[in-house]
Amino acid sequence: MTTPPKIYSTEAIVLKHTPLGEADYLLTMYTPNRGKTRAVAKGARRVKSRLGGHLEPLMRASLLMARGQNLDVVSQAEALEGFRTVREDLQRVSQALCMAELVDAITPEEQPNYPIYRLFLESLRRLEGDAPPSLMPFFQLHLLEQSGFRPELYRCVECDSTLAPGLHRFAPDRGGTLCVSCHPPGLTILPLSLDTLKVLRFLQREVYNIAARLHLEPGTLLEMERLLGALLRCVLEREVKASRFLHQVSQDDRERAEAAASPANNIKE
Amino acid sequence: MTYDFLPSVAAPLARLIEEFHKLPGIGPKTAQRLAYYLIRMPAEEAHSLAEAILAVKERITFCTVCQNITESSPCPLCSSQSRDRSRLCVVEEPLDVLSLERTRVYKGLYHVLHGVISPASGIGPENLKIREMLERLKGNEVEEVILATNPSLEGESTAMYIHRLLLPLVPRITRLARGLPVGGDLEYADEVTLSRALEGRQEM
Repeated sequence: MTTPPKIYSTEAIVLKHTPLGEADYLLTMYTPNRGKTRAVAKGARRVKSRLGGHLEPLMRASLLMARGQNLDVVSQAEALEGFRTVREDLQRVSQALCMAELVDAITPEEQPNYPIYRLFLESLRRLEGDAPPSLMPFFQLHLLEQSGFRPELYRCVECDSTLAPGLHRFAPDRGGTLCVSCHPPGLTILPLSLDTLKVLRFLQREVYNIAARLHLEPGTLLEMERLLGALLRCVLEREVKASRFLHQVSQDDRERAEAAASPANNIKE
Repeated sequence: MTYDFLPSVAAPLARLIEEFHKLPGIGPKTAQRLAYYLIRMPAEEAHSLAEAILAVKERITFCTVCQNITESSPCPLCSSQSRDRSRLCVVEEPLDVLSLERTRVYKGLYHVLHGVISPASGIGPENLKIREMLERLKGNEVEEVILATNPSLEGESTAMYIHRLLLPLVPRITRLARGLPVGGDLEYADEVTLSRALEGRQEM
């Protein structure tokens, strides 16, 4: 048996960091070849650290790692993409943090999953660009699919019959759609409109470039947010903490937009 | 309680070890070592240590104005007549006030948030002293608020969030400059820091 090399290089997107000891960070990162992995960045909290700025959450960085007893140690780091627009916009940054938490929560450690890496990176790039409203549901649907939790959107999860248009509901605990004649006891059942079902199927089926062109009604978007939120809660068996802040910011944005649109506000005091 | 099965450890000593063990970064061995060290310590030193611990708990409170840790509320900084009352500096932690005071450049007032918005850890704006800050700014003569949260992702998010809330309340909102640290090295600077340093360059 050959021993693994003591030093290796990798690329990674930092999902989160937690303070460790006096001046270190414990990083949780997502890498293309090793999946989710944790490492120590020594001294990264010091102002003059050579690592610090390169290893902030949501940075894509090229790393040189040294294998440690328990955790590997980052010995060199260079930021490849800083996603500055994301960082400097509250709405974008809260979406990105929500995505990072989802990736962290749904993936096991040290299990390579390149499609998830691609999906996360591409989504961050979209967020850095025009950040269309369909991005979050698209990301959630495909993250679920790539981690083995693809939601059923065509048949009833209880009786396996094909859904008739307009006659469908959503059962997050079972991970998919439910026909109107099935009434499994003790199950949370959410209403699901035909429009939202169509949009979900479309987002699940298409690649991003096509999905991004979709125009979404605010009602559909909200319904989708609720359904996917409930589904993710069932899959993760916990609340997505970052989504609370995202809701707060989104609601704030909506109120602001409404206030700006109402004519009463245009009258100078 | 862990030492119940060891009658050779005297009960008061076992209790002390237990108490030390509760402190952050103190394992069972360190707790034992500290406890045995205290036994050999002169009685007056031990008294002074015990008193210091009690004094911290009994006399220290939070300033009702700036939320900083203080012995008297309002704290000396808030009640001082020589401070510039038109400026308010918002920081994450009480220790940040110390760091800024050490510069001797800033003469205004402070507001301590006691944390930072960290969505991933479930710490939202409602867990910080933001409401207190807004209350304080209502009908106040503050002309400038300096957002001095850390230049980290969480610090920036907090600054952006507060900035939104303050816009209708304060004429001028500023953010500490971000760029290269003194004694730093360009070679090791990340792209976000460097681009900000370039944007904030100054005539010399």
